[in-house]
Amino acid sequence: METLAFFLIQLLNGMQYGLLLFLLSTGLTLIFGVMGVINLAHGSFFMIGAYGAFYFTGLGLDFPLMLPLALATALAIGLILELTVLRPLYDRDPLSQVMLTFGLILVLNESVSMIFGPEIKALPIPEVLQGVAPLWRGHGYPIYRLFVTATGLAVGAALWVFIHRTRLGMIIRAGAVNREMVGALGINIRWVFSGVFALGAGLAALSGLLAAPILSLYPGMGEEIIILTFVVVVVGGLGSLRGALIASLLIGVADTFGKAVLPQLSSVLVYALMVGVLLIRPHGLFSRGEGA
Amino acid sequence: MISRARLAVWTLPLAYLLAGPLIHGGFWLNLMTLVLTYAVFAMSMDLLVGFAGMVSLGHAAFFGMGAYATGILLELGWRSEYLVLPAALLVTALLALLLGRLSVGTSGVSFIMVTLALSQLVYHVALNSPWTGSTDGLILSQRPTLSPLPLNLEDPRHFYYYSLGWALIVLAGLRRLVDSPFGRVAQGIRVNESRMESLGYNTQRYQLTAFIIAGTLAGLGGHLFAILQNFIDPTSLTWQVSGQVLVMVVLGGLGTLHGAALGAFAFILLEQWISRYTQHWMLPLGVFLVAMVLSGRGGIMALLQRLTARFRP
Amino acid sequence: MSLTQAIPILEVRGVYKSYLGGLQANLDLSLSVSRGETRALIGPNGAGKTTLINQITGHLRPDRGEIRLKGHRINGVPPHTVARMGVGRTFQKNNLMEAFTVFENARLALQSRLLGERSLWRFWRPAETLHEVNAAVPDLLARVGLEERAGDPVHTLSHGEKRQLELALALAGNPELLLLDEPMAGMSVEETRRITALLKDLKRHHAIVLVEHDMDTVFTLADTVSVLVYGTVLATGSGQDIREDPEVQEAYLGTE
Repeated sequence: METLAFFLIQLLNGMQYGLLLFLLSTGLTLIFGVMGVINLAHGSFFMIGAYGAFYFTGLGLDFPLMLPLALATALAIGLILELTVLRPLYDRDPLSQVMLTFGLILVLNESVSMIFGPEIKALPIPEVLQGVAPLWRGHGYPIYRLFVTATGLAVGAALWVFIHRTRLGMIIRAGAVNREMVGALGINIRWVFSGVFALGAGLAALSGLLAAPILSLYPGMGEEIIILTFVVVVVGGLGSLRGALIASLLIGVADTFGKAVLPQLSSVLVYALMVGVLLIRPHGLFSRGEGA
Repeated sequence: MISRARLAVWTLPLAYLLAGPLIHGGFWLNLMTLVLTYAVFAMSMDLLVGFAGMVSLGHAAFFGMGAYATGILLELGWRSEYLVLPAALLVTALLALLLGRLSVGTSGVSFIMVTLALSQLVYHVALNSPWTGSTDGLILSQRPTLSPLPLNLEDPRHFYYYSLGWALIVLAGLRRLVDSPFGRVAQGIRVNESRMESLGYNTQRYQLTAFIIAGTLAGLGGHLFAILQNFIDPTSLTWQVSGQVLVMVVLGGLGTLHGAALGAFAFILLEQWISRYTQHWMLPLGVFLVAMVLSGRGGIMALLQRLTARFRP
Repeated sequence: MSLTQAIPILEVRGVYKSYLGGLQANLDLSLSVSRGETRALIGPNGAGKTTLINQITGHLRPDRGEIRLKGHRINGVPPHTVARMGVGRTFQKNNLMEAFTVFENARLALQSRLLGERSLWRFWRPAETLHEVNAAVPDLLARVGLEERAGDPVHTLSHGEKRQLELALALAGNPELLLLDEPMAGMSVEETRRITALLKDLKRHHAIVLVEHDMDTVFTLADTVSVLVYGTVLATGSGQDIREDPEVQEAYLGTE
């Protein structure tokens, strides 16, 4: 019974981690799919979201107020960056994109380090979501983690509806396949780009926001999670939302179980998984077909 | 080959490099040897990115492999450089073959992510494996010996000239490589892969070969680095290191080879200088990178060419 | 001109190809080209002509059906292998090494033919020492009328000159089959005349599949014409027969 409870808890943890990765990887894959830009600094929005939560909580704000404010701040920063330094990248080669976004990571990390200090910080779980919910036979599961899972699922569902059932979502999907044609249809492609970028950044920031009370905050926290995000995108297939979901859950669960059962090998496990997938499907599980 | 004017331009820096140890003291020696190891690393990256057109964020894996292999072999009791160096290079080449098979053939952006993730795999193995000393890394108690040659690698001056020799060999060798039939094909693939394929070239094979050569040379850099520091730990394997070396190459001038060496020199010197004044030297570096990309004006070599163009008739 | 070989140089049988999102580009497409024959492929835009070409060259793999080159099945065979089997191709949109000189473009193409797989192992001596390759460049450029421009970077060439270089690259491998995708698109009248004359000469030594929109060119050069509409072959015949076919007229030529 202990093992079943353990298994259940790890599974829930894994799903939650996977959903956080899903929010991140969706943003990344959308930005790449629509604008053709690989944004190494995507993890920085995760960091900005987390530090935003830290900052606004530090001002004494309650969770229901802190969340929209932190999110809005992150979106604002994202839009400013998109309008100023990222727009010129849309037609440039991958090397320029890598160089510029790498530089962006350095700037953002150091800025956070200078503003908040380089030490590791912790954020308490919001009061309204503290406590433990009964799970099974006397075992409990933190309410906050359930909240994160629920939010992740809700956002995921909302995204799916948005992308597949609304006109705007259809425009985004069309833009991902053929940028010029969307422009020719009279739709302001620039606004679509800014919108998609804001969406992607917002998802990353939300992920960081939600994760903040669970993880430790430090200026390089975006880098660690962006690597896993890349693994998710590689495994799921670049440009595929479905692939991002399945790969994130897979990797989230694998990583969590790995850390709990075989701590030494856990980090290697995820990469080994990636290698395995690449050997069978070199373009990822749900790649967009020939030459994604 | 090299024109007379070009040769003249380079004799001054070369003379400085040769005479340096006789003028300067230990600090200069140590710093410049470090520059030389990174120059080898950077030149190998220039081959990969600047000539073969394969942007990789995982090149540090090979630098690290060369360093760790060296450390492990020395710990196992190997003494002769004539055995340690080739063995370290062989192991690195095998790793490059392995990682190359997995990454070559994916598109530009996928390639970046796959190489990044694969090098993180190597990093985590180094971080967690008992053979590599885990987070503590490996200490090299002794440097390899070059006997019967009268060079003593324990002597910083000798080691400096040894490293300089390798750096020059790598530079000259890569010069030949990029102008060879193989090199021209690799460059053609960089410029237009589909066209080259339609001409009958098995482009993936060329890319894999370039990847292996570049990886092995990075391993040479790592070998020298490990000996210089008498130490190696996982921090040399991170993707941030790969990114920094990429910056060195772009800073110096992509696709020029000596630009990469120059970039390594400039980068390390700047890092040394600025970090005396502030901990946060990464911030101006980041701003500079962003500005450099947005302005699209090439690196130091391009700047030098523009400046010297004024003096040409 | 006598067509003596029994095995057609190119055989396309029942090929289907659709793109993601459900667009059916090729539908039960069949045709057969004999050695030494010049076949024109005509049809409205979007009829699936370039898709077919891409499946022959190996850039795309047919969903169903078969493509045979000189009797060998080449479904999904990679482009470089198909090229080595004796196929030369021009692209609809200029596909050249724009940053290099005209000379270097041609040289690389010739190096592929003359050195084959051995280029992979030649690391040391400069490409300049490949005398056989370098000596063959001027002739190749002269065939397409580009000998004057050898030293110029490709991006400085006019559109017509670039199309000429495309043709040179296709010829460099001494192919048995030439796949020319709108080779004269965007060329001036003078350039078109020159290239048509060149192609007339090439007809004698190569089988050619020519995707074209200009009917005069088609009727001058083609032995046989295949009309592609909605992804499948509507009719195949001599230029005269096609011109007079009422179905073809309705579907395609009607507006002329």
